[in-house]
Amino acid sequence: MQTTKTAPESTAPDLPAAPAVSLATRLRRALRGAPLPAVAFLALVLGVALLADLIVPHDPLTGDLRAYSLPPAWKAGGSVSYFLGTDLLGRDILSRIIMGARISLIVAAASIALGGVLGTVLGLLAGHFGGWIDEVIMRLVDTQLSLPSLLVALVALVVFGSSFTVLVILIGVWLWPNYARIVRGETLRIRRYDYISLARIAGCSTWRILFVHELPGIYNTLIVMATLQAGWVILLEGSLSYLGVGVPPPTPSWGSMIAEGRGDLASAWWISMFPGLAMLATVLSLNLLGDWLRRTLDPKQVNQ
Amino acid sequence: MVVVKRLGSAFVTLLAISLVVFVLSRMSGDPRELMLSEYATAEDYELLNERLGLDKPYYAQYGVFLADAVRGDLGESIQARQPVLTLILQRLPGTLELAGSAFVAIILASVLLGVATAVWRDTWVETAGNIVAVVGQSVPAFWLGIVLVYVFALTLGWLPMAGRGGWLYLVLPTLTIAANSLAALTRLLSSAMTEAMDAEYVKFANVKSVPPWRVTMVHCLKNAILTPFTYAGIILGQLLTGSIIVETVFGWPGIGLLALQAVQTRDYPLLQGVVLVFAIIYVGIALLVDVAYAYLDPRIRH
Repeated sequence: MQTTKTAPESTAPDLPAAPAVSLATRLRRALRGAPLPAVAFLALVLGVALLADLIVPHDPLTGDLRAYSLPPAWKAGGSVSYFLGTDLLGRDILSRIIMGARISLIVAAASIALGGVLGTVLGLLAGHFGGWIDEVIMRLVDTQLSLPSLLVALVALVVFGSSFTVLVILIGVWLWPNYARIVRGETLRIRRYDYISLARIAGCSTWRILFVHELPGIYNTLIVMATLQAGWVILLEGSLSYLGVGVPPPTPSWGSMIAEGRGDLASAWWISMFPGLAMLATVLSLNLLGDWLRRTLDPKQVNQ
Repeated sequence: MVVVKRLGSAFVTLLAISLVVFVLSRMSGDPRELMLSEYATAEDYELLNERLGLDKPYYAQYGVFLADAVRGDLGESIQARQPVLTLILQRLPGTLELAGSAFVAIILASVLLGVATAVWRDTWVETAGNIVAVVGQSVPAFWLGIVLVYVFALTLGWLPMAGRGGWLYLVLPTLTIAANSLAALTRLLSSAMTEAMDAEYVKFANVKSVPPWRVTMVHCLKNAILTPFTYAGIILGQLLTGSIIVETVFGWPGIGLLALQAVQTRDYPLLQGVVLVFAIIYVGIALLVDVAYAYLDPRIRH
């Protein structure tokens, strides 16, 4: 019934003369049943985001006004040079999508790191100590979860002005209660195990028990949560950018690109269409990967 | 007892929201600069200072703000020069209409999908249902709205592009807002149904030769529907916040669009009022769902 943390290899008999398992085989075993198209697509997005400024075919920020509103290459009047067409300022859509991937991933990674660390530490404290510490932290969690977050975020972004930093802090603060709640639940379960009592008898300090003995027990849960939330954060950043309070222009963001094309849907549908497809494919891949990880690592309590 | 405790925590939440809103709006700078023209004299500033109570200390200002809000006075919009409450009440029916139709659509679709994927487990039906759910969860709502407009309004010309009118105007916004919330409810219902169908009373009903559709749709569904019920509150909350985005895409005259206009024009009194009204609805729904749940499930009442 308990979640086992053992790797698949440990089921093999531990003989000293066991043949060395090649890296490729190990990788294949680890990925058994994984949604491979999703993994491949995410690898592509990650690679593109990392190399963005080396591989963009055109400058994503300044356009060529002579080439404004060009359709994608396969439509009449399209140009192979601007494969997915150009927007009203003559900027290359493909280049902007590539730069937008970088923005989306950085916002997602940074805010999940912030919210994840904050939530995990507070969740550990609440679960381990209980009592008034638990009461205070959980009351905070409940209060924040019952706020209409998008509206509060809108107000905060208007007040502080939208910038990359404000956006990341805001989303991070938005995310922490989810982590705190689930980590607390897991900690309550783990702290009853014998190895925790043994660690205490052996004279481990409280901090050591918390971070060396209890925390590793919830890594799986955290990985699943972070993956599923990455998709959600990308959608959220997109929504805020779409509403005009996200990543400030001229930095290309998928959400603001979609907003830019809305007014000219009839004449230039490609301006909105392609960034949305990129977003859908990325979030879909993250959700498929997250679902697979949840089934594989089997933490019972994770759901949004 | 449960109800009293929940009422208390709902009250605390509302207080917390009002405090957040108050602090944020005071951090936004001097409201007088937005309200007065550039030709205003120092006396005008002084006069407004007194009228708005800005000369008082912050805690007193917060007290006045709270007392006014309780009496329904949310101040005056800077742009429209009308009471905030009037503006909100004008737009409220639009949002409620959209949220209501989306809620019905989500419940119907998720019961249909949830039951179908549970009954035809391990067949193409389950695969198809799962695909619909996961794609719905992954699609950016604002983009889906634009695609639907492009296909059904601009290209095919079947449905209107934007605005509020007859039921035809409701179709695209409802689909857009429902897509995101569908997945979670479908999954919950599907697993609850799967569990219910394995229960002893199902075998008993089968032995009694109750017709199979009746076993599924009455015996199982009745038991399965309680689990996702608490989620209905979350969905209603999502619908309200989702309305901001969907109303923007479809130019739907509701509170969401009002909120965005307040953001764009930096109309703080209006924004403040909209957030408070949203919060009251949000907290009220959560409260109702919890109380209803306690009523439906006697285990929680005690």
